[in-house]
Amino acid sequence: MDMAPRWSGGYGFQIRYESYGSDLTVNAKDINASFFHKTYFLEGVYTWDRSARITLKLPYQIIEKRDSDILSKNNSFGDLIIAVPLKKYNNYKSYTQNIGVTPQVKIPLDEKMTNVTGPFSGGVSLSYSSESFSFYQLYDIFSWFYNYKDPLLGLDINLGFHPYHDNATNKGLFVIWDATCRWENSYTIIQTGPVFMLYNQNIMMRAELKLPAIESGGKNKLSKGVYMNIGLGIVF
Amino acid sequence: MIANVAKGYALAKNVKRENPAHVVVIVAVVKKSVVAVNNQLKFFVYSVSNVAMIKNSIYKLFLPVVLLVFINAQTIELNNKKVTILKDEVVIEIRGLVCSFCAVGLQGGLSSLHNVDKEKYINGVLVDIEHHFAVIAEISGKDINIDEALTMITKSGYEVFTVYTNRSGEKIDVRNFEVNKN
Repeated sequence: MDMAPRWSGGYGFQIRYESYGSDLTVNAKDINASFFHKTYFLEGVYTWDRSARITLKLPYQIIEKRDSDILSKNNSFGDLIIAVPLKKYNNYKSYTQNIGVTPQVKIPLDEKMTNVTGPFSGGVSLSYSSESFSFYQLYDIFSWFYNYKDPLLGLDINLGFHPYHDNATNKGLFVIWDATCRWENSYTIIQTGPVFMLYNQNIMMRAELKLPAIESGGKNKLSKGVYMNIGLGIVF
Repeated sequence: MIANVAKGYALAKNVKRENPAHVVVIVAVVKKSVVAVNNQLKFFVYSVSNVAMIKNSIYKLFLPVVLLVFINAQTIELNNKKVTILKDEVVIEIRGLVCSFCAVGLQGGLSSLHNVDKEKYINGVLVDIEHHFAVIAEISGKDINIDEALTMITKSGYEVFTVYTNRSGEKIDVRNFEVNKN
């Protein structure tokens, strides 16, 4: 389910909470250190035309780091992410598919982040998705390029099915299996887990949980741990 | 009735035919029994005919209503679903209509057309994403502008395959559109 509005002039908002982190290394060792990252997102989308949209993501993050006995907390706005998804749709009798290219930029809003990743980061993603009434699939490969950091390469795969829908009230449920791969310098992670999407007319709720299936990056590299994401969105 | 018959039988057993008084009594009892049986039969026949009368009234009252609905509606099969097209409805088969948010967008757009009966469905529009069609309810005696509806659907990112109307209530009119039949 392509949850962004497809109609001209359509727009929507979403609030989302995301968390991940661990106090163990990728090799499950306790090195008396931890890293936990929680982020609150305010997101928006506007559709000029089904082939062109703009999305904004404004994060507010809470980072807790512990290194031996030294604990540091940092609350700040993260990087503002602006993306322009450009999509080509093809409609068939019982399904629809689209291919997309999405250029995107990250603009640091906090001075500390500017010093870590640079004043400006850019990225691009290529995607293919296909949806019928019962099944959904998405494949998205993307990359981020930073000034002061190594680039990141990622791959997202979503496979879903639609177990419940009521035409009379336009309510229903989607269940998706999500696999996410990230490669950054010497760090590799493959996370996977279920996603549940409930919708009622123009309101949608999404909850997902992912665990690291494969993770490597040096013996003292802290694991990303359990990833959790919950969001509530509305479209007009 | 049964008690009278039993009395008559008891008397008949003890009757002496040569005694005229006994004979008179027997005849009177038999006559009374026959009348009683006859009355019971009449009641039974009345009851049965009354139920038939009630059923007849029901048919006379509701049959025209039922007939009225179906005379003004015809049924088609659309993507493996039987769809009844009523006199004041427009049914549009739409390609690419598979997602719930597709339904939200179309409902919002189509319900804003003139002469849509917003009392029915969701603001006058039912979208079936499983069988890929939309139903627009019209205010009785008024028509929506179908070309406006088609433009709205196309601008929303879908393609119209077929439009079905039943304006006369007796025959379905079909408008097909040129799309790739995939």
